[in-house]
Amino acid sequence: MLMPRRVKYRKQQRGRMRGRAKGGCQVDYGEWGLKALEPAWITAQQIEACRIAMMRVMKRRGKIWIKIFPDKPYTKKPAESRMGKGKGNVEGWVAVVKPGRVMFEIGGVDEEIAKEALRYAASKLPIATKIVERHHLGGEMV
Amino acid sequence: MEEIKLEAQVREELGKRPVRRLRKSGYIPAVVYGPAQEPLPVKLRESLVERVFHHITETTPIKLVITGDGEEKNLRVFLKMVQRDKVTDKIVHLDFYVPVKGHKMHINIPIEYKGKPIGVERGGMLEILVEELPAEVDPDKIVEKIEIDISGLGLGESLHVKDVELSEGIKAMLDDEEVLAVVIAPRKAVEEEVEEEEAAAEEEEEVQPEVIKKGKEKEEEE
Repeated sequence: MLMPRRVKYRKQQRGRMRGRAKGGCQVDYGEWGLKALEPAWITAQQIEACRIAMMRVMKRRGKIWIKIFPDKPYTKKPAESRMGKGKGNVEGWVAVVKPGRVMFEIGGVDEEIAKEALRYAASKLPIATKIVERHHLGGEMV
Repeated sequence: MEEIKLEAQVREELGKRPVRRLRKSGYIPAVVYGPAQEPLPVKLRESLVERVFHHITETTPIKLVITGDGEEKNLRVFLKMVQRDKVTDKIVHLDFYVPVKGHKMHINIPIEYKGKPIGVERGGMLEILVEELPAEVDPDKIVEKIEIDISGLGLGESLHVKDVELSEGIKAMLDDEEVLAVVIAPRKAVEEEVEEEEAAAEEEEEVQPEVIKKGKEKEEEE
């Protein structure tokens, strides 16, 4: 499972997910990508599930790029515990994803396989997504 | 080289809100500029742009017919930049560049890789790292694309910028050692098994990340 090796602080505040993604909105490495259309916390488990689903479809052909990293710890209080007594324990790690972010990329396989793999990955995620193609014309996303 | 014709009108809608209204009415705002051309705001019909957009690259000459104030202006331009919406991928704005003879242009020339590398036939995977070559070109020497034969690439071999023969008047703006394409060797089954075992071991351990601050304190205590 993906998680940071070293962190400065054990726990973090939750924060907000306003606005659109700041960067990573284009397909940069592969030919096809999966773009988020909604904001969400994507857990390390979900990222791993997507990776496995894509690998299974691609049958060890081509290449996958994971462009998000779960660097935010999330905490949870134990069941049936009273409020107070400090922040809960770290339960897992999430990546903060905002609309427009290309989360996964695929290259080196046919369009059909790439799209199927990304469809499988999309089904493992809690948000609406869309499959995007690499723009062969430069420019920027606004 | 095939020239594409586009019709545009002089744009009077300037600023965020008027331009937003313009987009809603089916137009794409654009600007035309160059070394000898003052920036001229124009607008193009979205349906017209979408029809030809799949054929356009930065090296495609475009005949831009601009109408406005009862005049018609014909310009030979190149598409300089496309701005797209982050979520919908719709075109938001276009930049057109009017070249001047003797004034070099910085453009990205599409690369067409030809042939099936020997390495791919042996089970490798071709990874293309650069699809468009940034180059400094004389406007009258622009080529539509650069064709590179990669059929000789073996397993683990790569193609560098220095290996590409460019025609006169074109200068690559990448380092000579920059890799354009590489044939990656297939991963061995043994390696994969080891990786899977490692991953399983990691899961069992459930290691939490080391806290930087805490580590330092411990060291000081010692």
